[in-house]
Amino acid sequence: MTVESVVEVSDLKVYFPGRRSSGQAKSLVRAVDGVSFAIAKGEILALVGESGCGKSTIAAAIMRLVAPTAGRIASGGVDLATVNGSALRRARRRFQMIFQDPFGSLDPRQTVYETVVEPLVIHGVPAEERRTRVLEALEFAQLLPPERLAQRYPHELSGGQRQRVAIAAAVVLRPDLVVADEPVSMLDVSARAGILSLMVDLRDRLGISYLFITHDLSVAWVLADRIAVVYLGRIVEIGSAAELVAAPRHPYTQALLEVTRGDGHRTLPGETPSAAAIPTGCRFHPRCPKYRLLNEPSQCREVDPVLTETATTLVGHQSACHFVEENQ
Amino acid sequence: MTLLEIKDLCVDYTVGADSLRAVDQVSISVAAGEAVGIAGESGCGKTTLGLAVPGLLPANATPTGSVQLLGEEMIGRSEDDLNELRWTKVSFIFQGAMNALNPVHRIDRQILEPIRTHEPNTASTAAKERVSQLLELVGVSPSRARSFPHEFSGGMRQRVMIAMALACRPSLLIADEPTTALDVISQSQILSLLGDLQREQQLGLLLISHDLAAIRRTCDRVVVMYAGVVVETGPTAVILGRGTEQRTAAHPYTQALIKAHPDLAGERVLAQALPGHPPDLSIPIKGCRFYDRCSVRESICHEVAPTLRPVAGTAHLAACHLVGGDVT
Repeated sequence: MTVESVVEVSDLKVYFPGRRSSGQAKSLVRAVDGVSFAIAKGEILALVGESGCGKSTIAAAIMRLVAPTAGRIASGGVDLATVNGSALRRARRRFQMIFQDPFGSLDPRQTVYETVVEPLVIHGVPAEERRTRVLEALEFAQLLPPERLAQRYPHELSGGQRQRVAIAAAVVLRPDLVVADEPVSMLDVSARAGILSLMVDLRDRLGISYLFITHDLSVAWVLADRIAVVYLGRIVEIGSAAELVAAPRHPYTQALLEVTRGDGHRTLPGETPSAAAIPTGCRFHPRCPKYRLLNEPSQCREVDPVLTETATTLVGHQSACHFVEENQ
Repeated sequence: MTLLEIKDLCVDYTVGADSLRAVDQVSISVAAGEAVGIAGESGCGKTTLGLAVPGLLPANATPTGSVQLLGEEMIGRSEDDLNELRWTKVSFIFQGAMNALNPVHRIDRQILEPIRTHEPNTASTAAKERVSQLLELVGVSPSRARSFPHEFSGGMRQRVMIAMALACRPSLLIADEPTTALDVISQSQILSLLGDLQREQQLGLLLISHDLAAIRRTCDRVVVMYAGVVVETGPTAVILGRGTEQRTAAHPYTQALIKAHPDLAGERVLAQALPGHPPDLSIPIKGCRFYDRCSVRESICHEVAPTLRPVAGTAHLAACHLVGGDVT
């Protein structure tokens, strides 16, 4: 990459031991199965996919909330996939996370001030600086006036305000990257728009990069610079948000778009297969409309497609489909 | 035939010495085989309205006005009487309903329960046969009837809830945010299912949702609520139609609500947040309830509460001084 990246993920794998079902060998749940991407400084990358596709596990691995099975998470000259102890703590200061549920992620017995000051205490910011920095973070999150909001408890706040508190706590250490896992999906439409513009505003003012996780392509489209579509532990398509939506090249992206647009009554049949039993060849083939349209070519069942540059389009638009040139 | 006729319904909540009118003079009708959507932000009274139909309001709520289901008045009816009508005439699917399944019982037993309660004379084999048919109807393989809820995904659990709601062949189904907790693919599958059921079974559907896309996709008519009153109602295609040319939402609130949704068919810009909050309903409001947040308000709006009147034809009504009628 020519631009400086805040994180470079290469061939990340996160496997969990599965449950033994009767008479069968113990299975391996391949939640994340070889994922690579980089996020540039000030960039918003969206990971889009269905429930259970592994997008939240990718986020958890980057935050080292789960230990990666294999792969590299390079950032600031260290590999976060393997680093431990004080080096991990230093790295964590640069990466912060926001969760889906603003009702569950805040401690109900802590005031807004106590919640937002906590990261400063943990990372040893001198006591005399803390108050100024908390109030500044509340102002960044547009919790105004900050002095008054600081004294509030979560139950006194609306869902949108709670999510702003979570954002203030995430940015108080001035991180390089904020990982946001479905931060607006539990909010009302009117609060939703406010949180999204706040995130963009903080990117512009503080240069924060985001890894934004969502199942909603329309939200990813308006917010993100680039979108990566995740299916069953793999990125199946990645590209600039505008182009990926205007000219999707992978049948799964095309299906997601059609469903999100809500035109007609077509929908993708079936459910994502279990990550403990990933189909052979292309993992999408059992649900793929293209596979059926092309009379079930054996290639799709036998060969695992890799992400390749789509020739007709801009550099950086990649798709993992054997028949990518026909998907137009 | 009119299935549901709500006339001048008011619901007052009493909290301590205070009283608050959450639903104020609302009139809505649903015909057999018709799908009507109720749209609005959190706190607009849409859930209260839905709960009032089968008499499920909490103890501190007092409904007045009229709710007629198949010609029978629901308001003022005894709890025993209402129990007779619930499941058999009207069923309710709650928000997050898939988490309402009992985790320790197999799903066939849970679907059987309303049949056993309401039709005690049904033979056991016939009841079991009906469970299989219901599962098939909602797209769950009857071979999974003996599964426990945790063995299903969220979307599949929601299908089971729909099967349960249909077990005693009700005429009206009220669904409160049935897809909000699901990802896009499951959302689209559940909405298609509801649409099919409504058409094929001549089921009346009252879909309560803040998601305009869900309503646009499923409903024939839409009712937009704000702060306890209906501000606009009419054919979905007219009010929420695709693209700005076809769409003629008249009320400034409906227009703002539409703008707050990202639209893949529109421009790639961050949706505009609605400024401010809905009014405090414990304080009497003289003029238009949307006055504080309205961008086109005039002096009359502060003084006189607007009533619903025709925008175009008789089907499309809006409660705004600046729309329709003689005043411009």
